[in-house]
Amino acid sequence: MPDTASDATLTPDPESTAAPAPARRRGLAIGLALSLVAVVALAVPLALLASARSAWEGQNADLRDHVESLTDEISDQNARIAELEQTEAQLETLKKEYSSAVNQGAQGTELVEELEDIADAYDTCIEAQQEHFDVLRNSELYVESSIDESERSIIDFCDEVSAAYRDFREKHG
Amino acid sequence: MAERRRLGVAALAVAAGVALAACAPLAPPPYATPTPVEATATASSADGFTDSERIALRVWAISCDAYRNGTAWMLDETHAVTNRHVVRDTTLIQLTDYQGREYRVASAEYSTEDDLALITIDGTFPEAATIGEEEPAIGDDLTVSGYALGGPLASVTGPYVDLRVNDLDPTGAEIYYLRLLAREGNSGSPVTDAAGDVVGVVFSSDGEKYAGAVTLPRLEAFLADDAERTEVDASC
Repeated sequence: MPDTASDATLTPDPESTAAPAPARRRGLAIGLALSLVAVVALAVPLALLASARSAWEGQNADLRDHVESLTDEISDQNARIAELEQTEAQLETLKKEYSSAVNQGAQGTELVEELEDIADAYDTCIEAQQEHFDVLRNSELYVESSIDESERSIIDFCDEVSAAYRDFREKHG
Repeated sequence: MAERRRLGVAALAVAAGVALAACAPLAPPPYATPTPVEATATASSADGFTDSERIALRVWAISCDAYRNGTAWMLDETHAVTNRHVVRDTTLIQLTDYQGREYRVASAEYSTEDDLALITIDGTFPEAATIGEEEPAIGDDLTVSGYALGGPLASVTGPYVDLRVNDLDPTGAEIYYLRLLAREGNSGSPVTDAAGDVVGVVFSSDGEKYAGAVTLPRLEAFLADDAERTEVDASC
């Protein structure tokens, strides 16, 4: 009679040999399900990422176009600024020349007036000398000291006129 | 168990592959844009002359013993400001603007306290100065527009160095001390700030580096309606 315990040990239990197959299938199914969930879970953000990338690239392209357009605009503006600066420099030169010409006109009027004043003073000097010659010709009619004083004053006056003319020439050439 | 791990690894590999595909190199970002050049300061009018230059007048005056050159500037359409020492004891004052237009002087009066004078012209002048509302701060760049040595019209700019005692009148009001070259003929020139507002009047210079100017408060006091002024006596 065989030992039942030994039989139990040696003979596989029909239930225990049948159990692993469904368990594996269940495990496989769970594994597949989890993988699917993981794939779907990853696929959603990846799809969003891909969409964002596409949008970013589109936006990037737009921005690049915009930058190129702005760069062209800036180049044009820089060229215009350079032209304006050149024009401004020319305007500055013209302004100086204009001011100089205007000033020469004003100075010319003044120089004429100054020269007329000097010429008038020379006239006065000559008249005074002529009068003095008359005085000298008729010196007996005048007090001698007053003749000397008059002569001195005429000489001083005429010297001043000459000095004024010298100053004028030194100042204005 | 090992098969389950393999499946998990495979799923992760697929996911990683998809993720790496999404992380493919992107287009380069926009490149740096060029920096625009800075525009230089421009004149405030189309003709190239600044406001302070357009209101500046060339003064030529005859006193009893000398000819004088100076500068004046239009306060309003009939009044011009200059220095007392430009118009005092003169028998004739001639005014010419930057375009060569001449203006006849109807009368002139001066301050007894400061080196300032007010000229009234016949007719009207098309432009006028704007008087500043605030005094300049030390270090501010100020511009003097006038007819140095009798012209031509020119502007010079330099910093306001200090408020100091007037060496020509130690008991008088303090003056603005400016580091710029003003010369004979600049007397009476407007001193303008960066906004183009008149903040002083040049009246002295060392002929090299520094110039003195009547301050804004003293100018305002002189221009006040009730200010005491003396008429220029045109007789020698």
